[in-house]
Amino acid sequence: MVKTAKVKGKKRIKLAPYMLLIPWFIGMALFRVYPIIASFINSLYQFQPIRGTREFIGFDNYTRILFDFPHFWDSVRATLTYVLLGTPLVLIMAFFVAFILNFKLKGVNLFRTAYYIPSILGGNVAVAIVWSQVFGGNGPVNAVLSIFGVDPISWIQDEFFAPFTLIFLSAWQFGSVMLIFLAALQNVSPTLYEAASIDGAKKTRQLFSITLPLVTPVLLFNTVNVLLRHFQEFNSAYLITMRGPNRATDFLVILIYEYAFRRMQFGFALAMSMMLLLIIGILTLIVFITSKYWVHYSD
Amino acid sequence: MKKALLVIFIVAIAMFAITACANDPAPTPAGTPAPVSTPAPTPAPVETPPPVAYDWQLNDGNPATITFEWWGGDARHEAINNAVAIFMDRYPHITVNTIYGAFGGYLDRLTMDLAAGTEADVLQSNFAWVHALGDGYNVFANHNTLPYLDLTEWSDDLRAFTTTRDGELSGVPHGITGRVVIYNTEMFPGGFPATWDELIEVGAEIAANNTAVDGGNNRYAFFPVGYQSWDIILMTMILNEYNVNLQAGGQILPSVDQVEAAFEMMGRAIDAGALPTFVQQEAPLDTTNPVWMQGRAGGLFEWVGNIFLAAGNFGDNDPSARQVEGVGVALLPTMSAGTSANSMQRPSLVHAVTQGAVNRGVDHIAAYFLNFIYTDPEALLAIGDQFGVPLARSAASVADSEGQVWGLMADGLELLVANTGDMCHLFEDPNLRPARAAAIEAFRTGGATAREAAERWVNEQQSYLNAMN
Repeated sequence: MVKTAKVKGKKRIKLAPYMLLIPWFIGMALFRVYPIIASFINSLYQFQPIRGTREFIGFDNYTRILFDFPHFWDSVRATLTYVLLGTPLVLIMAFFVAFILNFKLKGVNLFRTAYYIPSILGGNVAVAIVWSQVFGGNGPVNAVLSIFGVDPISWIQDEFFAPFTLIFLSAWQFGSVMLIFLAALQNVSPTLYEAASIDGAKKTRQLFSITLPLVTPVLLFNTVNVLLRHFQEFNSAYLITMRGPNRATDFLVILIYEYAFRRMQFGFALAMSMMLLLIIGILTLIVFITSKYWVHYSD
Repeated sequence: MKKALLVIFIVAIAMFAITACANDPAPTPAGTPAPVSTPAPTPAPVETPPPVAYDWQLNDGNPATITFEWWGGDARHEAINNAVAIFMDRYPHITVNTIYGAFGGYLDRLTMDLAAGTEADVLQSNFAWVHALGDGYNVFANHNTLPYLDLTEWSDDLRAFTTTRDGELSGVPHGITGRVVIYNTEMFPGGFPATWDELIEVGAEIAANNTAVDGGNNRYAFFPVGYQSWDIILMTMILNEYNVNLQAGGQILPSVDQVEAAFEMMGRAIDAGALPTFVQQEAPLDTTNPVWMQGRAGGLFEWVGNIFLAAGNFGDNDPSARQVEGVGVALLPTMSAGTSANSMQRPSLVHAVTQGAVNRGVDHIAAYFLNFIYTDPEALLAIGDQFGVPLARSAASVADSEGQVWGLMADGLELLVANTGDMCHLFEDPNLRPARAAAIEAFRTGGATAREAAERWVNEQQSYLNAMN
């Protein structure tokens, strides 16, 4: 029997669900809310835990970032390039492959597994080395391009191409996003397609009028997830392009890491973290606000 | 030869000076050449180590645990673990936990540990970190006051000019190192060029058949790998040509004009094909770069401690053996003929007892352990040459008797001894180095002219120095 509490003698509140939520609230408070609040407070200080000093400087760290630290804006530009090009590319690739793998093909399970494997590998050192070789001056990508008469491209050492090399790597690791799309596609009732066929709708029309609208809730979920993941990208830029050339791949999280753990300017790094949180928050908000125009919930 | 070399090395290194960029000389405005001065040599005693004062009842016989952290490769890990095992056999009531890994990420982990107060009791440090981390950060114990540590193992000058800050000794240096050119004797049978003009001339001939924009199978007269190489090359050019070090009293000493001249010389070498362009230089940025391994490079610019690694990876040599062929060692060319060629040198490694050990009340054990690995004959034999060539008296004596310095290594050390230049303690500062790296990368990628790069090189470092002061 569920225990209830009487409030003002009128309404009884069920306590059990709240009790069950308490562990989650504690975890959220300890590991999410508290670090964010503590980070914001410490970003107002010249904070050096190694030295053991905290000197309150108000919003000096923020004014330095905004008006006297062009490196930050270089990183914002590099990060936004990566996020705004990489996120749609991953979503399109993942949806396209999921769409194909949703057909009843021979050996489809093998393909599903094969496409998922790059996601398991993640952005580790081994993948970085492989990617460096694949996109190296004498690597297979340039070898294939040379068949078509294209001169070798410096994918990693060129300021223009380096971000795209990393975007390709992220797009290659679309497996988990694809699986979520695949699950959504399998939930679309076949009767809708049958009805559309009877009405004379072709496959393309079915895709845009039935499939896509019905998976938009999942598309929203994937968009936010991929967006956040791209904002937090560290390994590929750190290992493959080494943040260059000329800071073209010097993503914000790496800059923050450098200032915190190499230059030991923790307060300044925390202020940059808050700025990153703000940027992510704004973009996520835009996605959610616009979602009412393009996300269709069946109920 | 070996013994004589070591004696010379130790005595000469006693002259090692970082006075040109010491903490408190009178500020010199940028552009005013400051002499790279050298103090009067104080020969360090190199014979007869004093008897080690063993304390068999260390910590009054009570059990205790300390932690020792270092970076290195597998061979170093094995050697040091053996030395640690010897210590624990000798003092079974003392446990020494070890933390070791590669150099990459070591500083990041260290700063995180320091922030959390969980740093090791004894650790291996880079020279620059002693100053970058130590200055006002309360990170390292004052080794002048630690018990058991026999400071006569290191000469007074060596301690004074390497690990002493504001009168406190923040660690002990293991040895001195510098980068030298390791060159391909087939490409340079008469020796590596002495001036940049000569290198550019030879390089243009070698590069005449280079057609691959992205590297391909191009050949180069000189192939420095990694931004640290380019950084030290540029600074050495300035040091040799204008006799100015990086900074003094918080002022960047080289003028924009001087730095621009060095950038222009570097640019001429790149344009001639003597040096690779940014695009042509591909990873891996170490001695396993295929251009070097395949004999397509006239030379690498490597730490003297990496000589055998670099030479072992060249051509048909065996990376695991020290019998190498087809390589020689030289100093960097100079910008003008007749200018003295110096090699920027700094302590190779520093070992330090941390303030954390003091806070935990185990600094006396940590100091005893540190003294042990520098003086105990059995431990020194176990460690071998895995830390490089030592300068501490007992360690140098063992290195000499074991014949650890020979061949190319001896040649490289001789060059260092004969051409002492000093690396400013702020040269590898984590704030200054990225500023220089960004300027050099902008120049090499065509994102900045020599003038613009020189201005960035000077001004960005100066602004960091201003902020630090």
